[in-house]
Amino acid sequence: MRSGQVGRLREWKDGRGLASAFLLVVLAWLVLPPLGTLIVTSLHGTTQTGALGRFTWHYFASVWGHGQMGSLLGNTLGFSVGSSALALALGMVEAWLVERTDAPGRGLLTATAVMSLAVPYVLYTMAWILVLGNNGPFNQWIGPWFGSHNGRWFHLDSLPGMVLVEGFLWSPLVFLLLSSVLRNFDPRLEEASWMAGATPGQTVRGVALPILLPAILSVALLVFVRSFQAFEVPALVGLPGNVSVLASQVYVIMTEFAPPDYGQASAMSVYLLIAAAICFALYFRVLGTAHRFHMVSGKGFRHQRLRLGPWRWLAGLFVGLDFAVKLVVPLGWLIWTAVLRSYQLPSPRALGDLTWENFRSALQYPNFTSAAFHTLVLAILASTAIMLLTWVAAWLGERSRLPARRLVDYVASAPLAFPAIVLGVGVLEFYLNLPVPIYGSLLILLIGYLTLFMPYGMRYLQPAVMHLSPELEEAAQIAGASPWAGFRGVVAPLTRSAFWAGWLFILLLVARELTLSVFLVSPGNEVVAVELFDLWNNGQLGQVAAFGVIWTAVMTAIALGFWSLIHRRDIELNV
Amino acid sequence: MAETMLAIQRLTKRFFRRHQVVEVIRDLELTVEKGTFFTLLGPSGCGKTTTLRCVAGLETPDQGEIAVGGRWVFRDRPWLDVPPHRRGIGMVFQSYAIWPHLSVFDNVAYPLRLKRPRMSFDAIRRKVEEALATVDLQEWTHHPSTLLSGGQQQRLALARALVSEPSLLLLDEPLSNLDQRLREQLRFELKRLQREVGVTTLYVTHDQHEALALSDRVGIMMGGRLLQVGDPETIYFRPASPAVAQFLGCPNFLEGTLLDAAPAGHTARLQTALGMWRGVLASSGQRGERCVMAVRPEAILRLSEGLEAEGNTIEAKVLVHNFLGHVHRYQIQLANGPIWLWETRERLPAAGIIGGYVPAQEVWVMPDSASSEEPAAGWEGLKGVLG
Ligand SMILES: Nc1ncnc2c1ncn2[C@@H]1O[C@H](COP(=O)(O)OP(=O)(O)OP(=O)(O)O)[C@@H](O)[C@H]1O
Ligand SMILES: [Mg+2]
Repeated sequence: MRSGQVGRLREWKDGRGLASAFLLVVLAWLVLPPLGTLIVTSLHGTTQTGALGRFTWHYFASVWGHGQMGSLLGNTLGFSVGSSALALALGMVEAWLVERTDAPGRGLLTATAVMSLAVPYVLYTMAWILVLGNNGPFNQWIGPWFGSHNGRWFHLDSLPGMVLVEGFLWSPLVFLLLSSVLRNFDPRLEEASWMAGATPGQTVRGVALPILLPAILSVALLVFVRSFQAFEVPALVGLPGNVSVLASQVYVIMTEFAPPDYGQASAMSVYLLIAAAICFALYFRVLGTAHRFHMVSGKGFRHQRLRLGPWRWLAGLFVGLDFAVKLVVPLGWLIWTAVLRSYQLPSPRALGDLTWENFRSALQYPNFTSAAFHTLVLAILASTAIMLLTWVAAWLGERSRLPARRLVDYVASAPLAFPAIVLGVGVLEFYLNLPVPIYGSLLILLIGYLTLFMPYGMRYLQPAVMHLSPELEEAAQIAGASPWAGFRGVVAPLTRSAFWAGWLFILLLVARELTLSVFLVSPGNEVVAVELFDLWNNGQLGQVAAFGVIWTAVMTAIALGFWSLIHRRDIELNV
Repeated sequence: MAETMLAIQRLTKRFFRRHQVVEVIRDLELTVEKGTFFTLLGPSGCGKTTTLRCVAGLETPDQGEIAVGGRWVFRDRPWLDVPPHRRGIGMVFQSYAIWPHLSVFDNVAYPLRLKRPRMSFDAIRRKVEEALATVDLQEWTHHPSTLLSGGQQQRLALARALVSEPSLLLLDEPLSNLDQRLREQLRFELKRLQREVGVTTLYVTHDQHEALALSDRVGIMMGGRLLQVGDPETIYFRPASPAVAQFLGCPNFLEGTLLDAAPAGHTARLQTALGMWRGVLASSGQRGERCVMAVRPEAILRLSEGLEAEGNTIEAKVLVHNFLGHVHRYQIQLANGPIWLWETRERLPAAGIIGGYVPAQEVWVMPDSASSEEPAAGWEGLKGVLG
């Protein structure tokens, strides 16, 4: 008997085999049905009754029909390249200023980034529309200086407008990721280069950049894929200006007619899925290189800060502007909107129109209160279930020798490549046709969130378990603990902070989620982001803003808790 | 015959490395008697840790039988594999594996709390305190275990391994993470403790000083096999092969041809590149047989001016000098011969030819290396112990 098989025999006896099988079944049940339904539907379409039609390539082909696909792909590519380039440029400068220089007010950038974890993207996007849109201060106040009096000086509902907002949206996360890359960069590598006689410039070119490049590239790719699948900005900013990208086109197809053209939406989703999968394959390849350079592990090092000297004030100006543009202006404008009886630009006259009315009515509006309740319940359920499942999955993946462990890892990570909008279509199509009444209940949202956010659980717990010396657990076994007792007594307590970090992070993700929910919500199971989205489309600005401000305050508390936890416990941030 | 506490037979373990099977342990046979301190000594990567982990149940062997205290814990045919938590063995890991989330007390109490039927709270406390007192950590009982220094952690790991009174204690290089001074101090501690508790101990190290100082018996392991088993003095003075001698810090070898036939342990004459030498035979030799002689660096004496020795002489030039405190160590170039080490309390002149000689009883003559791969003459076959 070979040693591998021998060890497995023992694992089947002590129940780890059974646990792997159970996990695999649960994960497969979450991932495979929506995916399968999507593919089947894209090849069949549905009849008026909802039954599958005959096999056809028609839906895949028709997308290309009227030259529509060309402009869609062009827009999508331009949007995601532009916004990820903007986010990367901003984030890179911010990370460098914060981690490696003595620029004044560095803490403001970190605060902006932490806040960005709390604000729902849909709300942030709305704030930008209020600021940069036709009736916003930008067009109304600055436009006239340049001779434009119709409020159309800057077209926000255009590709450049979308790129701008999406770039602002993602730059805090780029900043957070690159900061940790810079912190984990061993300064001795640079010092060795100086000692070898290189100038600081040569050191950056010859040592720092080549070593950091894979990590930077992986962040760039991640942001690229994310904006590729993004929904909030394309829907709120792009659609009013008739600028469509793949993700918003799926939404349009799904909401244009009733019943929707499922075949068309599914085919479009499959295209989106394939593109995302290719990007993610690339991302993981690059990430592998980054890991090879030991860029991702390790504790932060103490770096010499670059003294900027006379440039310090320029850096300070950048920091202040960045803080103002990304946090103060949009949030401030939102608050301004929230305290007005009717929307108007700030003026002495407007001050007479201030009111708390919006806050009061938002808190009494039954849809909001039930949406907040649903969202909190779903967030707690989803993050608890995900973290518990992935705790065992990460442990088995790291310690078990069963062949199933790889499979568990793959299946749990697969949804990373699912654009939320695609998963939304898949989940909807599958459960809509199921005879059990899952559609319309909170359960369908829970299932969607479990699938969508499962990978994040793995990404928080896997490194924690991996960094745990196996000897700690073996010592427990020698002391008389069965493998499960060892998990409970040693592994679980020692990875507890990673568990809670992941738990809080998923909580925040669920609280912000719009894209998937927008398809799964029906009267009775509404959630916050979708409610904001709907009321916005109804034009109830004051109430949306008031409720958004309240919700943001609650989420900020959670985001702060998350942030202080990962800082105190040196947990690697995963977004 | 004394009671056998650990018996290993035909133990073989293979690993897959880059699509290749590597046999890390090959047909290992070993017995340890009750109450003794047995050390596996060998260079890095020879499979010591793997052997220990097979005994503990943390690795599953590919072949072989292991019995602890007369009870099978592993057998390939018919299949039997007792998981580690049912083997009743204590172990101290190289990293100590102190659980950082538990206090000193809770670390030691952990094995007791897992016992079924449950032990009473008082009984647990008594035993933990007793164990901590044995290793002199009683003042630290309620401290977090992360506050302990390296030496204290090692003692805590020992207390944790001993608290459930295992029939066998496994130690994997428990001193290698400590600095030199502490290591020497703890060496005494460890030996005293083992005597006091009387627990059968299997110890793994690559440090020959540690092995010699601590053990009742030492097994020299290389390339996944045991080359020689014996008490420390035998291993040191009577190595079975040049490889063993070299590993125990004797780098001085000289090849020669036997001029006499003699039984093991007797003195015989050899023809060498340095002239005629006499030495003690490790095994009986035939006239004309090729042999290798080993000379310990400290056995070389200086040949004073005008004194004559018949044979066993060297003429040497000093290449490098190290002062070690208790001795001077010289690297010397022998006239038309190899490079040797010479340890003496005398200060040798840095230039010029120096004469030296080695008493015949200090020259150890072993059969030539061709046969040194075989288990040596000192090897005691221990088959059939368990019937
Ligand atoms: N899990 C494993 N997979 C593959 N190879 C392994 C594994 N564990 C050990 N080995 C290999 O087996 C050989 C013996 O390892 P082992 O740890 O037993 O050596 P050792 O004698 O304890 O060495 P050291 O003194 O360095 O601790 C080494 O070459 C090692 O690389
Ligand atoms: Mg070892």
